Amino acid sequence: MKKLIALMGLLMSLNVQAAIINVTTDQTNYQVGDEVTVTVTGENLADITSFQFDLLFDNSAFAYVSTFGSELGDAFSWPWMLTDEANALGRGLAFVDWDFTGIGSNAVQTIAKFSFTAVKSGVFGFGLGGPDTVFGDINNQDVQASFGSLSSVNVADASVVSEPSVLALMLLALMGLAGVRRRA
Amino acid sequence: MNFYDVFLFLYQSTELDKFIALTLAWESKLTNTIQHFVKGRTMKTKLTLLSVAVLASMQAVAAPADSIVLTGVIDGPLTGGIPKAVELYVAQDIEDLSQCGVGFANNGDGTDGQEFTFPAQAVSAGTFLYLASESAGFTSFFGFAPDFTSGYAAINGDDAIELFCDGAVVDTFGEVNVDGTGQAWDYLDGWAYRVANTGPDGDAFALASWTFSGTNALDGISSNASAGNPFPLKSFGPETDPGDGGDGGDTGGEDDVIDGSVCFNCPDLSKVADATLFNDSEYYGQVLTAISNGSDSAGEVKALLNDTISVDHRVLSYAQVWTALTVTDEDPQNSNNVTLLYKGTSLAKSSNGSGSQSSNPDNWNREHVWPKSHGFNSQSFEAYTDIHHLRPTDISVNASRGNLDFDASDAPLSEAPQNRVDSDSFEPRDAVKGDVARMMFYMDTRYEGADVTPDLQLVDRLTGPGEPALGKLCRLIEWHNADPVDSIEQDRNSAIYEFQGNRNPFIDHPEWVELVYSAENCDSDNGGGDNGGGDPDEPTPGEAGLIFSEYVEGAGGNNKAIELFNASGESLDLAGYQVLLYANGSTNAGNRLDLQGALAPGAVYVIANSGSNAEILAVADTTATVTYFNGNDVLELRKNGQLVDSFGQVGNSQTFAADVTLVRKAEIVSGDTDSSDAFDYNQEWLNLGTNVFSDLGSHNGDTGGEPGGDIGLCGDEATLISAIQGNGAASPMQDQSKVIEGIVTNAVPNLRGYFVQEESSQWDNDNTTSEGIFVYQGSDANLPAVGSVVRVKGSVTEFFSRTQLTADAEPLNCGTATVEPLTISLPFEDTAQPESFEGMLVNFSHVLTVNDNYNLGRYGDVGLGNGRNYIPTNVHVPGTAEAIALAERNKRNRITLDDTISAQNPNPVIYPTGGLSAQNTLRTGDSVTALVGNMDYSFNAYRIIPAQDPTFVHSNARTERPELAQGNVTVASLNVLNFFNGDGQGNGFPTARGADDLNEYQRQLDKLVLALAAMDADVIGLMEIENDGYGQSSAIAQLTAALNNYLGEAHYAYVNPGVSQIGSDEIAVGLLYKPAVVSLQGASRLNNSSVFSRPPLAQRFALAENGAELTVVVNHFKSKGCGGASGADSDQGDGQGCYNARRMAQSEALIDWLAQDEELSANPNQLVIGDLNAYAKEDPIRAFTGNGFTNLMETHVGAQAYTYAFGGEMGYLDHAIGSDALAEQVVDAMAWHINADEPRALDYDTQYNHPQFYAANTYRVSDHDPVLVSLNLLPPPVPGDFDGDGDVDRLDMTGLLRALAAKQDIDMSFDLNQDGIVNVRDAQMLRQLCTRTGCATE
Repeated sequence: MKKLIALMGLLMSLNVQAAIINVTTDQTNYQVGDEVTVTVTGENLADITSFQFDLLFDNSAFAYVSTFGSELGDAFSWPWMLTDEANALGRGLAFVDWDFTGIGSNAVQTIAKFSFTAVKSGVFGFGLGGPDTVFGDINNQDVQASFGSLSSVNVADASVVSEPSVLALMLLALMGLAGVRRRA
Repeated sequence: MNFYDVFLFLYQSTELDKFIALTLAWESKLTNTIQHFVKGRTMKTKLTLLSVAVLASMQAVAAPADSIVLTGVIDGPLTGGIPKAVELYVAQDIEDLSQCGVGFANNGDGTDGQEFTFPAQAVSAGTFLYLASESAGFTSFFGFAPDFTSGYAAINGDDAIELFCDGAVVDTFGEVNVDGTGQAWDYLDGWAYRVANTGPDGDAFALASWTFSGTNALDGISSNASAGNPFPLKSFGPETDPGDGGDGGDTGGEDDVIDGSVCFNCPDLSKVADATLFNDSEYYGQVLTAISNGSDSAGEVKALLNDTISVDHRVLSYAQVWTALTVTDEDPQNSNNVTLLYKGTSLAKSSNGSGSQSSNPDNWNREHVWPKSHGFNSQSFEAYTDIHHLRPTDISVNASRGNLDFDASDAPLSEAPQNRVDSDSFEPRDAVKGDVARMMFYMDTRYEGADVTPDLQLVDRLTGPGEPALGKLCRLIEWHNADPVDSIEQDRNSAIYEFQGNRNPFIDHPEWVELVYSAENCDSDNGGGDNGGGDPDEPTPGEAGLIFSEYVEGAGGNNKAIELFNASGESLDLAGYQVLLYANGSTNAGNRLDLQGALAPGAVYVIANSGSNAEILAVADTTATVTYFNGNDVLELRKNGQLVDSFGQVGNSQTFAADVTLVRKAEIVSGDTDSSDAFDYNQEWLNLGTNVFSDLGSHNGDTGGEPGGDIGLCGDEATLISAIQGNGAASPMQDQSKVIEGIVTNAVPNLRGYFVQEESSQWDNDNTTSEGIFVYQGSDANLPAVGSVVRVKGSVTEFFSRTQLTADAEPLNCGTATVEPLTISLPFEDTAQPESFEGMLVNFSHVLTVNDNYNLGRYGDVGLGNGRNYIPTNVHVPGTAEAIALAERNKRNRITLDDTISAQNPNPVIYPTGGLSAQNTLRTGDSVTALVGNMDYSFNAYRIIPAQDPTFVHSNARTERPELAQGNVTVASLNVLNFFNGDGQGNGFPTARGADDLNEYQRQLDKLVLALAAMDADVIGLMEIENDGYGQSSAIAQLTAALNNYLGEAHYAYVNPGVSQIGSDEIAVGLLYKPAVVSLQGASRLNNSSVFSRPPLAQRFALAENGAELTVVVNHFKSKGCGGASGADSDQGDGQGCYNARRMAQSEALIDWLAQDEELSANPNQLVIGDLNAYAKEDPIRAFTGNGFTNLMETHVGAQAYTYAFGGEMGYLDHAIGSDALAEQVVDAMAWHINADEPRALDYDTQYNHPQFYAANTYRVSDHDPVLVSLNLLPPPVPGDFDGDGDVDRLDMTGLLRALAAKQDIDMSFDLNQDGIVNVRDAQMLRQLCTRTGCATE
């Protein structure tokens, strides 16, 4: 605990302005065919005027449906522009504020939400980053960004009975047996 | 090996069965082949094959074993080591000695095989034969001539000898593998002789069977008789008993074998026929049938006679002739003697000059009445031993006769004065004149070329040795008539028949002489010469005099005429002559005409019907009622009442000559004095057809006094045209007088002559000799008609390398025939190939392309080829094998179509059809689809003289405007061919290089303005504009003004570089442009470097449409003319002409200038245009294409691009060469073919320019075609213009961001912050590049 505080303190002292980008999913467990909503958020974005990074995931497991819910002001209209496109690593995001005023708020904001359809079963992760990551600020400087950890999801085949229910049934059976034993 | 060779081979071979089977199977083919090979065009010889087989059977038997032995060999002491000879002994009868032969194995080198083969003859046992290397030395040494000579027999005393029969060695002398020098059998200058009763030894030499004189035993000896150790002649074995005369044998008929003892050295002789069984009508069956059928022409009869008397001819050996003559020529008064032919006296049979008896000049020998030197000089020829003409004669009288022709001769022969002789002829005594003649007729008829003996021909002239001919025919006919057949001659004929198997038909049927030998051409007088010898007067039908020569009875109307001809040879007084007309069968002449005046020899007198057409009346001397005939009326010509000539049969009213023009045959010189007999005009007249009037007014007949004329008669022998032409360019008979006979293929009045071609049956099989020839008559009228067969005499001349016959006179008309043109094709196999068709009628297997019209106006010539010819260096790199090969092929791919008009600048120019004019042009690339004419050579070129009008097709049609795909700017260039405007005020003419007067200037200006207007280019580069500055009166200013005037608006302006002159040449380049389309960017630039002949002019333009920029440089490089050229500038022989080095330097200077000049290099869109005087593959052009430039004509038009014609070849000197950056923006490039294809006769020049040649149109404004290039020029790229629409706006920003998010490849031109990476940071910077406020989209 002490170490953690010290680490956090270190982080904060080094880069008080570092952008923090996180990714979450609306559930952990899905079945094939379910809608999966991925939310990418950003914190400490006040001075950021441009960025590009990738949402990293297996795009053979999830079919893109839509992008929505950005809180970056009037993000899709002039002079701010956020674009996202599929690429080999998953989905790329690129943003420019051509007024050069910065995004303005350091609070956690939703950069974008993405809706996917789970198309196959397995354990998958949604991550952030990519080799082309760039964050630029109002001083025309590159800014470090810290990306949150992977968000892992499970996708089960729709026809398979989920394991916990099997376990529950077995427990119920055992308890039933025990009960029968007691009566005798 | 042809079938005749096969026949001959089989004839001599032993394979009889095969031979018979083969020949029976191939009977008709053999007949045809023999016909082909028989000399004598009009005569056919048919050899009945079965009879040939029978003949062959008498020869084709193998030599019996041990039938012939080598008995002696001698190496003589006379100069040259002669005689060199072998003696052979015939031990058994040999039917055909040609089964055997001798080989001489020289110097121990092993066998040389059989080198000499004996001739095909029978030899009987007991005969000694001598084979020597030569005859004179042998005869001198031994006193008698060898039987055979052969060069192979030149032995040296150290050479072995092999005797072969049927291919195997049957006897040997010496060791073939050993050189005899020093050997026991060495016979150097000595002899070797076989011991009696030894041999033959096969291939194993038996030394012990031979005796030797020893080497050098004969040294210094001059004759065998005087030698100390003479060669033991004929001592090997019993020679056929020589006897001493004895009682001479029977005179034939009773015994079948004549004992050879009847004369000296004579073999026995058996009979092959029995004269008592001879049946004339059977023997001569074929001939008799033909005569009774009316097929009795000389040719037919002779052929049948030849067949008849060739069959069953048993060829005797020369030795057998002795024996035969003792029977055939036996003195009827003394059976011990023979009668000598010329002396007429009788001599003992045994006094024959054989062997040792040959040296006694009073003995008798075998005289060849047809001399053997006239066609058959050795025993291998049948005629040599043919006893029909072999007669006993006194040896020395025979020698006096020698080989002279037979004719009346000057002086008596001293030894036999009843005979006469002179330097060139011999005349036998009267009693045998007919005999001699009939023997000669026999020889001429018997030997027609199907034998080993060549075709022997009796001719009516003196001949010489070596010719298979003998004269004089007419004299012999005279002698035949003077001395008829008697019983002695008939008996002799029968006797010959018994020994030789055939007969002399002219003794059996003397009346056949007349059928075969026509005396038509013989003199009718009683023989020339001093000794008439009893010639009978030949009945002559009439003197050569005045005769009817032409009869015209036209169809429809009254086109009628008769023509009289003076054939007498001297001027005739016509007084006393009368023409009479007997109409419709009347026997009284209803109309008469008395003639008057004089008629020159060879001249004609034409009497016409007064109702005749103009053509007839033009040549009529008078009109008269004797022409009131209509086809069934008879004409007579009388002199002082006596009938001289007639036409028709008096009293016969049948139509016999209606609707016909008849001309008297040329050889008819005297009239038909019997008007009561049947009349068939075909006998003496030629039918020219209906309504032919062109022949009236002259007659090609003979005039009396000349013996038939040198020209001969139709059908007589003539020199083959192929022989006159020969296989080279010049005739081998140059300057000789020759007679030809052939078919007229083209009459060309303009050339004053006509072309004659040999009938195809007379063609030789040599395709290097032409079968046609041009005959120069010297007149343009009276040329013979095409399709007529003519006979003409003239001298062979080379007229500027054209082989022709310069005729002495107009030709004889010999009928009609057709000729098919020979189909030839271009390119010729070699430049000499057309010589082999010179004079012949030809057509082409392909369509002909017009390749050269340069001289169309000047000479009326058109150059043709098979497809177009391209300048070799336009297509291939100079000096390469392909370039050289193409240059050579182009030379062979040309022939000139001639107009036959010799005048220069003719008017009209007859090609193309309808005559050349501004509207009716003949462009290179057009076609001639049908051409039939004669190959001729004149004015240093092979030409076709058309026999029919050629068919022209405008396959390379003019186009009204250039067909160029458009872009947003078009650039053109044109060499305007010296555009000089004088002083600009209407004066100043003639100009230095251009128009000679105002009129020419106006003509030039009109054409040029029309062409420029049609081109409608936005930038025009010009070459050869007068270098007179840019003021109002300057050429370029006035041209621009005229152009704008024509267009109705000032569309064009010209670039003014602000100097008074560009360079120092009289001509300069210039630039016109449309200010509405392009604007000038910056000043024009000139390069005044001395390397340039005419400084190039460069100008940067900007497109109004999109601001795109373009730099145009217009050029005129140094021309290929060699004036002043030296060193590297002289012609290097690589096809690039002179000054190639200079042009290279100009290219390099231009490339440097474009790269280094600040202004010119700033813009990557560079276009080099103009006349670079270099073809596409030449060095100056390749200098560009290897260096960042593209040849746009090459990339957009290709190998067949051209802008200029030179020497009948096409190529482009005018170029559009773009920088590679510009090349990407080119839409299209082309040359507009308004000039190079057109004849120069159509240009603005007025000299020699007939009025129909000029029109104010766009064609032939110059000699170069204009080049056009269309481009789609793009403005330079705008930075930040991501979507390429020419601006920067939000669309570009979105586009860039999306591309970043999608990780697309983005061009580094978008690394706007130059940090080496394209990312959102660069996208941010797009903000500053926006075209519009707020980066708004349009």
